[in-house]
Amino acid sequence: MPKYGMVIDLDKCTSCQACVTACKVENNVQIVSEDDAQNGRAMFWMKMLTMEFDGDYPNIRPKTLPRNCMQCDEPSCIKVCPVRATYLRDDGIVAQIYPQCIGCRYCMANCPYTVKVFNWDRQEQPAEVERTYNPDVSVRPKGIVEKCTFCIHRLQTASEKAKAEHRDLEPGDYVPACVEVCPVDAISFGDLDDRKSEVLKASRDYRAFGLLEELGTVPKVRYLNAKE
Amino acid sequence: MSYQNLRDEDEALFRPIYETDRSFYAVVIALTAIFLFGLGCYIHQLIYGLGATGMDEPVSWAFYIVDFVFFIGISHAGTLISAILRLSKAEWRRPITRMAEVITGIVLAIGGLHPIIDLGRPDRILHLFERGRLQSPLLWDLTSVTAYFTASTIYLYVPMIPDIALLRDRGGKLKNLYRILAWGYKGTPKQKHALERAINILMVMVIPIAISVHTIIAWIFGMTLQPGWHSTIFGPYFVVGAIYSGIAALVIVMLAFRKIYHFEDYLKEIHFQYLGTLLLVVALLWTYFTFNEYLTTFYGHEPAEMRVFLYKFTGGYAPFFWAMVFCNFLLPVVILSNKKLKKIPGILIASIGVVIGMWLERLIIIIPTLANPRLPYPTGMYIPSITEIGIAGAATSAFLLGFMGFSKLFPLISIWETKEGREHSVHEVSMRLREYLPGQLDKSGVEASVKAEL
Amino acid sequence: MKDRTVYIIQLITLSFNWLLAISVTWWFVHLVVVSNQVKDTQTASLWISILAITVFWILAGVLSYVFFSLHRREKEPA
Ligand code: SF4
Ligand code: SF4
Repeated sequence: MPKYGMVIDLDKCTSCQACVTACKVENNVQIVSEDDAQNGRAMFWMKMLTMEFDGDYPNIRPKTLPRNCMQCDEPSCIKVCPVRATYLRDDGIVAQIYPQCIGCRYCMANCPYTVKVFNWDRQEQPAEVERTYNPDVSVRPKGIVEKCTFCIHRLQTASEKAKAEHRDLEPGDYVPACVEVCPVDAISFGDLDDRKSEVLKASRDYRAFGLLEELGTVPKVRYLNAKE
Repeated sequence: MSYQNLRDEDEALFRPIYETDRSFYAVVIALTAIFLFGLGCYIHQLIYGLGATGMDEPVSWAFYIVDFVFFIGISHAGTLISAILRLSKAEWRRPITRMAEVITGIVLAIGGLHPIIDLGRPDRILHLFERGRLQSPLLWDLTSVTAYFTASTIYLYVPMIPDIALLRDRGGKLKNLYRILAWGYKGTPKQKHALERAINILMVMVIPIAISVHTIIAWIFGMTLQPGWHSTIFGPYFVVGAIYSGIAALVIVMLAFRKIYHFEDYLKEIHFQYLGTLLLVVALLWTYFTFNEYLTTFYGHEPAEMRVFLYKFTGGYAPFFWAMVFCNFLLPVVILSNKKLKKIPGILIASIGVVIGMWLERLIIIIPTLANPRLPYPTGMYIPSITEIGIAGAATSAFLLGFMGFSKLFPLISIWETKEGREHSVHEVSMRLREYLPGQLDKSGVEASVKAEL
Repeated sequence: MKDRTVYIIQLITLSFNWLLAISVTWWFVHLVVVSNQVKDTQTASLWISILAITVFWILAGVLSYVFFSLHRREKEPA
């Protein structure tokens, strides 16, 4: 079984937010009204986070950092879900079952990274957006929680394609939208169990660190510090 | 025990059941209006989703959860206090226990509904039964609240059977209802014995259940990794807070209904003074826990914890925090430790202060933590919407309506226990007292000496 | 109302408590089975279930004890 992981190189990242946009389009994430956005209900699976500190704990220089779901190996979110609407898959992805979620928001309260977003209500989307909905991803109803899934629908398509072609899934077959779109290739993605994979090598780099690693959540999204 | 002479002596306790004056209906109508408004708010929320509330990100839990914790806290008034008082054979409990237990039953039903009001998809509630995951504290909570509700209703009902039998024997309105509920109680010694035994078992069972309920509610927060929540003393801290707000609510309700139904002869100042002393003790205990909680946070000085800490002490929630300190510590301690102020008006003011303070305490525990996540997001904001306030109003008026409805069906003060106090306890207590004294050998010796004196 | 009707209604109200105890038991057993199927938190589920089921059964038991001891006395000559 592979174990998917991601390494984001903050040295290469220019904070262009292409990943943020790509994610929103790829996953049909709802666009909320201006009022709601102002009230802190904007929905992003991938978010550009401004880290206030500069050059402190372990020498972080960049002030921004793209943050998606950390796909923790010891996720706090699944522990507290009362209905198994979020669970850890064998391939390491923390998935969310939309039709199962009852919207208690306990997982939101317990994610140390404040990653999960809630559909406070369902709003009319701009016509252009509705035209370009991704058919592979369900449009979530109001009242449930959602989050980054490492574009799990792409994994499904890729493995089905591989199966049809009678071969195994190759490393480049499945990449999430943010990885694909990054203009400077700052994000590497792949199988952390594969010894030859680029992502494993990157995650063992001396510059690598995980956000809030000290909590023991074992994030599978790791970052590379900016070089001096 | 002959029922005939009982009628005359404690007639005042029966009166509310048979006589209703006009102002009662006026209050009922007003409360029903508030309740209906809240119901309308909830329907609005059902249609438009939780967007109708003031919650956002990262403050994803707010008013409903605060009210949930608060109401369940109030419910500890009853069963726990009455069980403890019964267990410790405090004689002054007799006119208090019934009201305390009624508060528990009603408030628990209302508080228990709050997490459901808070759900984004209440229509999927059955998923809890189909695919529930028992590791989640929410399920522990569901279980323990149900258990507490069952236990406290039984604990309310069983000691009420003799009173229902009295009502049945009087005949008149709702005779058949009382006949069904009285379970054929006739007051034979064997029946009494069985009842007493059951009360004793329940009393012992209800205490751990009550404590577990609020501990588990504390664990909903304590089991997370969030700064300000992840604390080992949350369990006992919440329990103490629950008892604290419970006693205060009990005092308020008792004073109100004493006034309305003219129970002055049964609920004397001394009862309130004893409750006041209890309140004072719990106030100090609560302060001790609060001090512990915040001092360790401050001393440890962990950045994430400190952000929450400062948010409470000097930041956006400082007014609420200091109001809480005033309501929960200064006000009750000053009033209740002062002999001159510890009269009924003073005790009432202290109790109202405590109820408000404890609500603020729940607010202060829940929102600042959510508003200050670990990662450097902008600090969250939360302003409740009309919907949330309306539902809180509805919950409160539902409680009052339930209590008033109860008072029209059953006596608010346990008649047989009052009777028993009058007939047996005077003798029993003086015996007990003598047994404590040095120089008394055994029970029979004590009995003989009491007899000799009489 | 006849004594018999009253008794039956009383029995029905009592049986609600048993219904609750039995449905709680059924629910917990179901949850343990589910947790075993998906191989997830089996031990926790088991222990919590045992604890909760006991509490509900004892409560129903106490209530039934009251009910039947109140009624048994009725049949004896006063
Ligand atoms: S980052 Fe949060 S939502 Fe994602 S797996 Fe970890 S705990 Fe769960
Ligand atoms: S909001 Fe949904 S996914 Fe999150 S804990 Fe509740 S039921 Fe589970």
